[in-house]
Amino acid sequence: MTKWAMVIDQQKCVGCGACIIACKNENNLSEGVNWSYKLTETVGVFPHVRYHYTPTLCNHCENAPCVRGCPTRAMYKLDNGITMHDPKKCIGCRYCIANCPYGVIFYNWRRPNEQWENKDVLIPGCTSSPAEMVEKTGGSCSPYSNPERGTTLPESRPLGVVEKCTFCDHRVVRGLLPYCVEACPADARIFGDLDDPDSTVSKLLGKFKPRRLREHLGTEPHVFYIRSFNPGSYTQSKGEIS
Amino acid sequence: MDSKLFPEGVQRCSLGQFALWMVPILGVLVWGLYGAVLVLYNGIGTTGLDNYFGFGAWITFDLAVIALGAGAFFTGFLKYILKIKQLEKIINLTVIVGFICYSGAMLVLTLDIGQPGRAWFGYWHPNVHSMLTEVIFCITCYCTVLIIEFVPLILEQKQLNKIPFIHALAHNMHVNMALFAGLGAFLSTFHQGSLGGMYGVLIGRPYAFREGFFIWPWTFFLFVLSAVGTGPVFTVLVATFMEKLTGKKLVDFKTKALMGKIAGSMLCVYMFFKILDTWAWAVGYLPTVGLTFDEMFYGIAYGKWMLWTELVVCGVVPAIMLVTPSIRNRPAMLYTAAILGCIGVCINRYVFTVQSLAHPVMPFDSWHVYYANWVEYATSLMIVAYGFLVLSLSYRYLPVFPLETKLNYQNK
Repeated sequence: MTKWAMVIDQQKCVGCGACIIACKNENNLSEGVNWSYKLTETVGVFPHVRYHYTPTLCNHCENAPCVRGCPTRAMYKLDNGITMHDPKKCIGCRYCIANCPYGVIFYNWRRPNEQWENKDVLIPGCTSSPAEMVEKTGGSCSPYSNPERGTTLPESRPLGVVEKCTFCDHRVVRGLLPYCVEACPADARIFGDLDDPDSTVSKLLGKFKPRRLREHLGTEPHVFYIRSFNPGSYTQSKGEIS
Repeated sequence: MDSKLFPEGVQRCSLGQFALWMVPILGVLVWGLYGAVLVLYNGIGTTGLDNYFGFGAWITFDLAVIALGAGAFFTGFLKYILKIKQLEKIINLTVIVGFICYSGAMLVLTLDIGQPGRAWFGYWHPNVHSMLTEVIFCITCYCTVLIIEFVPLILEQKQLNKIPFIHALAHNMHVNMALFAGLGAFLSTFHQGSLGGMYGVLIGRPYAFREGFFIWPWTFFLFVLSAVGTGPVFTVLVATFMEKLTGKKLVDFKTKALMGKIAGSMLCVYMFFKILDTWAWAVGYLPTVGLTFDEMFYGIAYGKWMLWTELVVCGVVPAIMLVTPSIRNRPAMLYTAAILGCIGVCINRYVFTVQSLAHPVMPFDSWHVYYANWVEYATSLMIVAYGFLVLSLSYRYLPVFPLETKLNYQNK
């Protein structure tokens, strides 16, 4: 049985945010909703200071607290390990947000892409209004909306429901990698089948000691982090006694 | 003008005075309705809630009024099942207060969920593993029970009761009220508990998470106990407030003191387990997840002062006051203890709702402070105004207090 998982190589991640932007484009995310994001840790004291990035997304937990807590079964697990969300069943209670130990579930506080509903033109007789732009480009919610997202979820999720990363299930079913993985310029995100011993993720998890976020909670996340990031080098020395 | 509608043998203020009293109540109600319309039209983005604080003032308010409304089910249980006859002098008021609290909470919940039109999905697509499903089931069923308990009182309105069918219906509903009281006690115990359980199962929120018994975390039992420890005295406070407003004696002090004794006994049991629970959480659970007691508190909004106020000033102190006859039997002391107890349960619901979420979830995260905005205050106050409205109308037109005539007119 396929169990999809993601390995994030923190040695390679430079915190560029390409995954965040790719995700927003691929999944038609509204302002303020980031299925993929990153935690930035500042370590050290100036001038010996560095940033440490931890990309975050839904962990697609084996023992998902959001699935157990959802009163209407709008959060559910697929056989392939992906935690899915059905916006048509969601009542917007936000109990999943309280349940999620990772803060990666987002609520649509406003109408999605509402800036594109604006019918006012910037220069009358010259420019198009945002609403006209959407109409001319044939987009459903914004001029650049991705219709492929609509194959497994509504293209744009409505006001008053929650949404979260789906491991780009609409791409995975077509044999494509999640778009954040595709877009990562450093190949820091690696996707594959956890149950296939020959998959790259399985090999990486065998080679490097992985960690998972808040592992002690027993949620069994399917997102693994390997190789802590460290960009520095130093002159070899045994130190000194001052 | 409307004196024919008054209960038998009582006096009420003139319709003009009553209308004047209604003006501020309706004013607050309209203000709240305006906020509610904004929420329903624009979504809850109009509130101070965000992805960090998915729950806030509304849920705190809901949980608090549901706990304070527990007087209805617990007094009903004591009166109809355990047959404590003296409680019949206040039982009508407990039902009305319970009805106001539960229906008000449901109104706020309707605003709080993003898709009010799908509120019934909890029945249609139930997840039997979710504590929230249990809450949805029990709270809606119990609200229905409260309506059934309230209906006979409405049917006993002087003019309505002259109709033979309605008279017979009211009588028969009264005869079978023990059944509804039992049903209400069962449903209410479960949903008070599952409201606590809802927080206790949040494995990612160390402030709220608790071990427990079978599928129920300890918070399940603590929420039930805290509700029955404060609900009865909240009804006493409502009765006393009405007495101050109307200038009449509505409930004899003996009944109030009995309610205080019942609540005090339950509050003692609650405090015993609550202190044990807090101690086990601080020295048992927190260290196992790499946290310390001090890390659970932050600044003024989420400071330790709130825990000590809840446990000592608004917990142990009112419990002792209520179980000590010499203190309880002095009206001022009884009311003080009741007020402290009610504040304590409100603090408890606040910290479980807001402080649990405010504690940093992820590595490198920091504490966030939640501020409710005017929409949340307005809609919550709308429910308070709704309570005033229902109570005012009930007092004016329904025979709520069986002792009112005896206490105010017969002696004279």
